Amino acid sequence: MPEPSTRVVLEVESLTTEFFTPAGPLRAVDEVSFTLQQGQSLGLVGESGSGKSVTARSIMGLLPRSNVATSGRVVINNIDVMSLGAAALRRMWGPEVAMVFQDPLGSLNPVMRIGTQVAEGLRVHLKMSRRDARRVALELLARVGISSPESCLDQYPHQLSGGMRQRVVIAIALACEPSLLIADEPTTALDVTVQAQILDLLDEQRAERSMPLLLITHDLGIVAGRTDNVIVMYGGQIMEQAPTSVLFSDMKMPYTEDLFRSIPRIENPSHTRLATIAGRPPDMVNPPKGCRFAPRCRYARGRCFEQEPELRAATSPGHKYRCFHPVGTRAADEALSANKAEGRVNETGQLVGPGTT
Amino acid sequence: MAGTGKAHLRPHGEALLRVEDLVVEFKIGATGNVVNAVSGISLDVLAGETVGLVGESGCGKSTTGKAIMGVPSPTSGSVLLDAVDLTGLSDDEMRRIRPDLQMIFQDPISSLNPRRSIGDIVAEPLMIKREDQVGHGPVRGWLKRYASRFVAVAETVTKPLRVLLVLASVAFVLWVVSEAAEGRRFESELAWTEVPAQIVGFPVLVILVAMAVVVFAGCLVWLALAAMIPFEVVSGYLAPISPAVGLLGAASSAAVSWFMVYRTWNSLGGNFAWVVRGGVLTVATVSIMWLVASAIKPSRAGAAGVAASLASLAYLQVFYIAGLDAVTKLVVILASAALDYFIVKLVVKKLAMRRSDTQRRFDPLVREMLEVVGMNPDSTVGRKPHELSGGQAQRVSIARALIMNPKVLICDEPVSALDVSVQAQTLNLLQDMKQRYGLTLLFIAHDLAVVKNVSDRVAVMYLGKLCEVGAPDSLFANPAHPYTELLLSAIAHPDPLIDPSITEVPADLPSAVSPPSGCRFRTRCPRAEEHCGQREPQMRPTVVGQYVACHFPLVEMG
Repeated sequence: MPEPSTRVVLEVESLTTEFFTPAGPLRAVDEVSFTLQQGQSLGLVGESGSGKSVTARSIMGLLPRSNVATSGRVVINNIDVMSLGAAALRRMWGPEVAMVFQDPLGSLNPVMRIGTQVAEGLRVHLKMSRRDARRVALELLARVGISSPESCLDQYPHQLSGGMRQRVVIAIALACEPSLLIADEPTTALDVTVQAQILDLLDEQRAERSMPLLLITHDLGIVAGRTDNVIVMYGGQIMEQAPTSVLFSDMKMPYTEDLFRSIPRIENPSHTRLATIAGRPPDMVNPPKGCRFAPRCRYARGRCFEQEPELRAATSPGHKYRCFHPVGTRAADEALSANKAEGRVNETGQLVGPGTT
Repeated sequence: MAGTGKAHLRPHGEALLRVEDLVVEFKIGATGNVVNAVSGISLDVLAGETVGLVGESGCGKSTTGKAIMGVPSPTSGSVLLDAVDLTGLSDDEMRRIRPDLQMIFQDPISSLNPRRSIGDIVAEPLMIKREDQVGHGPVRGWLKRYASRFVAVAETVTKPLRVLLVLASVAFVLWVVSEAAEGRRFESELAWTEVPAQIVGFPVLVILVAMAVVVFAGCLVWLALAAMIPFEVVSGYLAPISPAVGLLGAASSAAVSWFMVYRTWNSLGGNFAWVVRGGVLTVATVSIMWLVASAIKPSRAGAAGVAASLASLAYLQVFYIAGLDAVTKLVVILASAALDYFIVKLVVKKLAMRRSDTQRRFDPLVREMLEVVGMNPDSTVGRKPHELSGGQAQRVSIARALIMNPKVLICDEPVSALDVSVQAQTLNLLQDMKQRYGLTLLFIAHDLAVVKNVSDRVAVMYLGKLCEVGAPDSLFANPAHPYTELLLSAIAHPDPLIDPSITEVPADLPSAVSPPSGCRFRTRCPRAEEHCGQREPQMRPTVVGQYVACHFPLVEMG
């Protein structure tokens, strides 16, 4: 999908983040590379533990310095985030990159008035006077769709509903006009109706400011209509990366297919048996040899358990995947029928074995 | 919307669970304002049916689920389970019904006690039920009935003495119960020889050991003297103590009791009235301490009751030592307090051991249940909740609920905190369990696709009222209520060809403190007219089979 402006705002190259745990080093993010252009939105999708949130925190420089090793390159607007010290990072948060977290109540200070919290960034980063900051805060609250911004300024977070709080958090994130907005599961704690409102708001602000948006979620439904590109992560790696429409019409990774199939669909009749992904996410201290998804994959054959597949390009531009038996190809059909013949997969296409239900 | 009206209810007698005109209100401090969390919901669930309750947060769906469980009891309305009205039951009766009504909560990790193993957690409901049936249940009931009589008898003692004893017993029991309630493990903390030896040295230890026997036996004597407590109650308390200790106690009590009575008789100058008063006082003290203990921590009342009765031994000493000199009195009082502490610890430990005995008996059932929900029992029973993933923890919650063989399972957002793949596993599991055990489910969730997947009948709630009730397939294909349509339009479809921005979602939910007049949905409703603010719509059948409470429904009315 060609964008009018193609200035790269975020460049992530071979980002690797390891935590040192008592059990050994845990590689939460493994050689992740992608770029994000002005005005674009990118969805980062995966199960819990797939490394999507750690990726976001690594980009922000939010991870603690002890017991964590981050390597690779993260460039936001020509600033190399990895090389920044604590003070420089603080100067960057707000004007360059801002983040919206999952739990709006947890990300607001319960003993500070909303107005003070929205104005804080303006006062610190943009050195505004108290009066100017309050005026801008009022504008911001109105812009994010709060119906009575004047009274909201003097309220405390507990006086607002979940949706209102998330709007306030977005107003705070947008206050210093960031060049990049990262939203980490921004609607997971919210209702469907509020979810739709918040996603609309993020989308509207992205378009208005031509600000790129990195939207992290476990819900393929959320990225489907609202992102330009999608990255599917599993076990800390990028499994598949594609323009959104391509991903949904021509998914290559068995993992993406499984994720997609396990969503309960409103179109399906009641009591439709849901497809599940057998087994559990990999132990990241001792990741499986070969393809990370192989133990849970119905297409996996001997080679998948031995050799790690490379992220390779598909036929459509911008589409990459990491699989030896991409879905919809002859290789996949052959692998599946061979697995059925061996009894590893049953007739309905579900993996048979321990830990599968 | 409005949803007062019961047109959608099935005939009486058909439903396993029937909720009528359920109202739950929460008072806001001293303002006099009231949160109208649930305002007149009527709902029924047939045996073996799954009813889905769907709506935004704040619509009262979770409050409805909890009100059915009686936590807290509804403000008004009735909840009929098998024709028994749960709202009229006493706490004890409700406690006996609760095994039939089990619940699964949203956050699986926080609904499991982090300090206990999975085996313990799954066995817990069985343990509680068993204790209610055979353990301290009868003792508690008996003591409750007679407590008032005890207090009346205690009135016969002189007033200053009574006040002093009550105060002292309250302080003592508060301390004992707080120790017990902290859940401290009493093992290994106090060895037989350690504490007395540290406090008063070995010679005193010998005296203390002797006193332990005396005190223990004396208690039996006094209880027998009082002749007010039936034998099975006494033996109920003593059951936790191992046979050896029991034998020792019985043997020594026979020998020592004679000595004690003789000694007391003499030291009190042969005043028989004092002996009787002593007995009465003991029983009164036991009962008072019992009441205090039960009030502080009802779930620990069993252990606390034992503790309270043993603590009363300290006061017995006062009567034994009336004729001794001041220094000896002090030593004996201190010693007996230390001993009581020790005995309490011993008994609590014994209780814990008895628990583990019982638990061993439940072990096969626990393992079977874990296996049924797809967990490997060998690797699971010894683990703690933090070692489990969210999906596994939710399986454990399901096992814990199903082990009681409930009639109705209330699931409050059971999959909202889970990933899609785990969500699918959990929903499939619930479906399997429903078929296997013929479960009846009330499934509360905000995700329409999830509710549609599991339900046989769906009820849509808005701001404490019902909007629409019907079969999931027809309800989602032909929503009759504008609110159902709004919810459907807000779904995030996993299909990039569906443009999500075409629907305009109106402002937030109005406050439940002052809900809109007439139809509560009218402030956000695209079809609302003046009429909607004046009259509350009633539940009416539509031609397509569902029931709707709306003045201007989206489908033809039947």
